[in-house]
Amino acid sequence: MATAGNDGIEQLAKKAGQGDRTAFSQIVRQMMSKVSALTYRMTGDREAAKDLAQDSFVSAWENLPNFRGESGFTGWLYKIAANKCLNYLSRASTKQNVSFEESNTDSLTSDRSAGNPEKTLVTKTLREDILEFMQTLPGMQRAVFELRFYQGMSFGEISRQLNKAEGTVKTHYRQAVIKLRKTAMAKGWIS
Amino acid sequence: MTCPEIRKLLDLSFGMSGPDPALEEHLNRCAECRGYWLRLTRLADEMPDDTQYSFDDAAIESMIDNVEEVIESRRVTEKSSGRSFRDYSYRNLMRLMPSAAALVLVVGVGVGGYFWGRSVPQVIEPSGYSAIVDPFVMDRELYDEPDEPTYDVLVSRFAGERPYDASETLLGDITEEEFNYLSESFHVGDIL
Repeated sequence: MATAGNDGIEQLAKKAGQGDRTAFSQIVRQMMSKVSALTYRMTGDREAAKDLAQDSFVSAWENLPNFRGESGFTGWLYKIAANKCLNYLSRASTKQNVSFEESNTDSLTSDRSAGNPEKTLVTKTLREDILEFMQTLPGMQRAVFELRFYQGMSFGEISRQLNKAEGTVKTHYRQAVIKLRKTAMAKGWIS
Repeated sequence: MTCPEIRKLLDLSFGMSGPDPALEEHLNRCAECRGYWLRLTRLADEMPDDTQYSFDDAAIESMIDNVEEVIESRRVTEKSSGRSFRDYSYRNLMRLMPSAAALVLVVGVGVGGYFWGRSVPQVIEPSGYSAIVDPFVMDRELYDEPDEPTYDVLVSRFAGERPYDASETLLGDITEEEFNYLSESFHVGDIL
């Protein structure tokens, strides 16, 4: 599930690291959709997801001089976004004001199933179910599941990016998959 | 490996294009584990992909604009303040400032304390005891063990108790014959 055009992004990141604002603007344009999808899945809150995605890019711009390019720019950017979400979740858990938005998904696209109302409904329900499921996972499990399943990162890379032992990362992922399997059985996604 | 162990590894391959190649042999001969893997694959296929969570174009454009605006405003601040948010030599320096301040404080207290200790007035009393004047209580206290009285101290004490020249008086009281006897028989220091 590697991002298409990663090589282009890496080149742009190199230029942006040298202070090229135009290159960074291109990165923002190419990656905003993916990063905001990540923050949305992790938080389940549309407005928070937008803010966190924007913050992630601003942090990336400020920290680019320190980016050594060892792990790839996209992985690094996802790490920034995931960490922003984890911080948000830990702050929110103390305030206890985060709730999953079940119906407020108007600005989300559903173009893949456009033209087929039945499939649109199923897709929308599944999308919301998955969002709901993600909110049941503890923060670190959520981050690991997101980076592994949706961003296709290897366990080694996730371990480096989140600064956790690889074994711990694998345990988090497996626990998330077990929960997902149980949820899928309960909701009837699979028999 | 047992079937439960294999399934643990299959869980880790969830969402990947295929299971770990090392597990394929087991999957070929174990129908239960093969079924387990097929169910996982089906579930992964059912999962909504990334595009299902993307915001619409207007929202994306608005977010891009916001990012550009924030970065631009920071660049303006950089120009007006003369320092860069991206200048890491400056930021690292700022990060080190608390440690540097603590180090300066510790060294300052140490050196200052050493010199303060040396500058406290110390009085040698005629008794041979050294007394330190405590500037805070403005009182004299003895802190040291008594020193062994020196020769000079003994002479000054002796002279202080007798307001006359002891040697002259002593010599004046004896006859010349006695003086000669004494000077031949004893050393001058022994007499004193």
